[in-house]
Amino acid sequence: MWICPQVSSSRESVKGIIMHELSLAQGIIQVIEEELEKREEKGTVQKINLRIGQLSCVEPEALLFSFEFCSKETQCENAVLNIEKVPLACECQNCGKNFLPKEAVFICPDCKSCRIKILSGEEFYIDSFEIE
Amino acid sequence: MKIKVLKDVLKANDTIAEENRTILRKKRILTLNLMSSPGAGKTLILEKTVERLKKDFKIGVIEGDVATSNDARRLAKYDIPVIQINTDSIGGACHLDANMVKEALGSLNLSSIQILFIENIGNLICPAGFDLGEDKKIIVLSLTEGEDKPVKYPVAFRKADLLLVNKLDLLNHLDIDLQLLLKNSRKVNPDLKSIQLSARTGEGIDEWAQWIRKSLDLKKRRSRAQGS
Repeated sequence: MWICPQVSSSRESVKGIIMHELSLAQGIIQVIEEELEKREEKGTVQKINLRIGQLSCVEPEALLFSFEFCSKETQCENAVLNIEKVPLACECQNCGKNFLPKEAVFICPDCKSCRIKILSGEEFYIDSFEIE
Repeated sequence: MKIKVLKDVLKANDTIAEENRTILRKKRILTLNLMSSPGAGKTLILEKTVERLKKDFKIGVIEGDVATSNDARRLAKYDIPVIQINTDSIGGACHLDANMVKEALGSLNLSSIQILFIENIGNLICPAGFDLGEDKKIIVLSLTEGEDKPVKYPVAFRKADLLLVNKLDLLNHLDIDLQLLLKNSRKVNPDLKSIQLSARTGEGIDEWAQWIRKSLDLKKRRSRAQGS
């Protein structure tokens, strides 16, 4: 039998919450903790400003819930998540038109080409955070 | 006090994915990430593929599931190294991420692998957002799922390098329009190549195996050209 021992992540085990946003909430806290450590900042985080693309597959409600759960006993506990949604913007690779698609399948409104480049809308950025 | 960060949260994953890619490039391992909804037939496709390629290549598999080692057991009977990742211990994550793959790579003897398959968690949404360090993303869609899946779940199809249309043996028993399915996939990803197959009967497995051989050759040539 070649089955090796099961691999489990080194991340903290969080039973009972099954969602994509959980790992993203952990990612936010990790990035902020690194920034705080770098600056030797001991304050508490009041607000986190996020830029989330329309196409990033992130459900804000689920993210808020996950964040509340993951931030307990960290410097981010009780921080407010301020989410700015970034609309999807595309460029047609055939005629060069820039447009904001209305549907999930991207078709150039001018030349009807399907050869489309995504300019924005996939990002998941921490823009800034505020501490006290 | 406001602190400007401007950091991509997914960047942490991408950084680890690049590390995985470097390790796999040095070892000249072709790595294929298979994504689909649950039940599309990824595991049976892998079984048939391993049967076909095992005599010529050394193959390894990383299996991702929320729970159970059922799939790993199905593949382990071919006497190849299989690593099972279960995400139920980490909140039942709906996708594999680069860190999980990195840990799995650490458990494999990479010197004895030429082709590495990563069977992602059955889910047409989240796996597409996470780079694992693979060479190619393969999307499997079975005929029973309907011809509109590419336009309903465009993100996964947009990022794929190859579409495997599975369960071809059912074509005459279903009210599915295969041409419309392919047309829909090209609407989302105009360059998406597709191979139609039936893992059950073995039809089309040769073409898929040939595609893998070609991809491995290409990777070897590129590695040589880069001198790594």
